[in-house]
Amino acid sequence: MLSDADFLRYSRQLMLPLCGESGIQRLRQARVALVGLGGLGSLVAPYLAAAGVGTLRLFDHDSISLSNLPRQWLYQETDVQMPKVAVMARQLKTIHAGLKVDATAARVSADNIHHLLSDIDLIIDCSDNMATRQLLNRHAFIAEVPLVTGAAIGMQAQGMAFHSAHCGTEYNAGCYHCLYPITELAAGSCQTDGVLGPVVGMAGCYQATLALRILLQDPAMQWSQLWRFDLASGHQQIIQITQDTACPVCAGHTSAFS
Amino acid sequence: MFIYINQHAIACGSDDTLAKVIRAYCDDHQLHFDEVAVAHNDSLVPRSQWAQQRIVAEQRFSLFSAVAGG
Ligand SMILES: [Zn+2]
Repeated sequence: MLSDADFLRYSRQLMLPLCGESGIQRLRQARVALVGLGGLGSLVAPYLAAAGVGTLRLFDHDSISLSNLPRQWLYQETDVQMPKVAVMARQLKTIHAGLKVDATAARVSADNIHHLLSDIDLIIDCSDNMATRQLLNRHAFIAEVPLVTGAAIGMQAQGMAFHSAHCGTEYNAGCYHCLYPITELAAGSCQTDGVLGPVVGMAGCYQATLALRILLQDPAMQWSQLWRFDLASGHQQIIQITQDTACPVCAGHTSAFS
Repeated sequence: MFIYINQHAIACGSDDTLAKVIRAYCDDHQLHFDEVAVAHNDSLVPRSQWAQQRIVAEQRFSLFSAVAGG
């Protein structure tokens, strides 16, 4: 049941045919895991909390550094050197006191992922490295949990969503590993190449939108589609991520991938 | 014959594979061959197909690098 205060608070969302009263209930019951609280995660988390998502499970092993502040502006100058998960949990509570937040200051790894990401309705990959991205993709596929991935570097933003139930040749749809079959990048991190705050914010906003559409069970949801946006030229492209029949994650191949 | 990658005309031989053309493009543009993805008609061409796929004159591909920053 929604209270009068809920109707007021979520009135602009309720108006959308996609949401309605039942949508608010769905969001409230949703349990979302968010891996990484950098430029992407520090934007996705408050959007989901504000939209009324009931439970957020946050993962990040880093503390806040001065170089984070230009794009991770929910953290304040006085928060430098504090663990990101602790500060984010505190900030989210000021956005929505009723939110349930589980904050874990640990790196998600192959050893702990099954434990840390159990009983979850959606995984959001806001990490900053290829190894974690591949790990989350593989886990999401095996656990049959939808995955929203986003990334940014320089003036480039990318975003996409995957679901093992909508993956395969019959859907012309593959997984993250089909798109990028690599476990690490030689270069190209925000540390080495730089990034402009709003560019990573753009990717985070796209992720938050995909996440809400998935939780609201949008019938128009398009899985396995890469959105790429070059904010220097304004050029955007949507690419269908077809399945690689050699993919060790989604095509049932047992190759050396680990 | 010519094909196009990101609007650049590329001269190539009729028995060139897509893998060969992509590798040459990456070398010319200082891109990491292992880290790029390629699409044709807004649809991903999976990497495992590159070595077998023969190119056809006037084909247009978009090529872009993996992004992992966050
Ligand atoms: Zn795959």
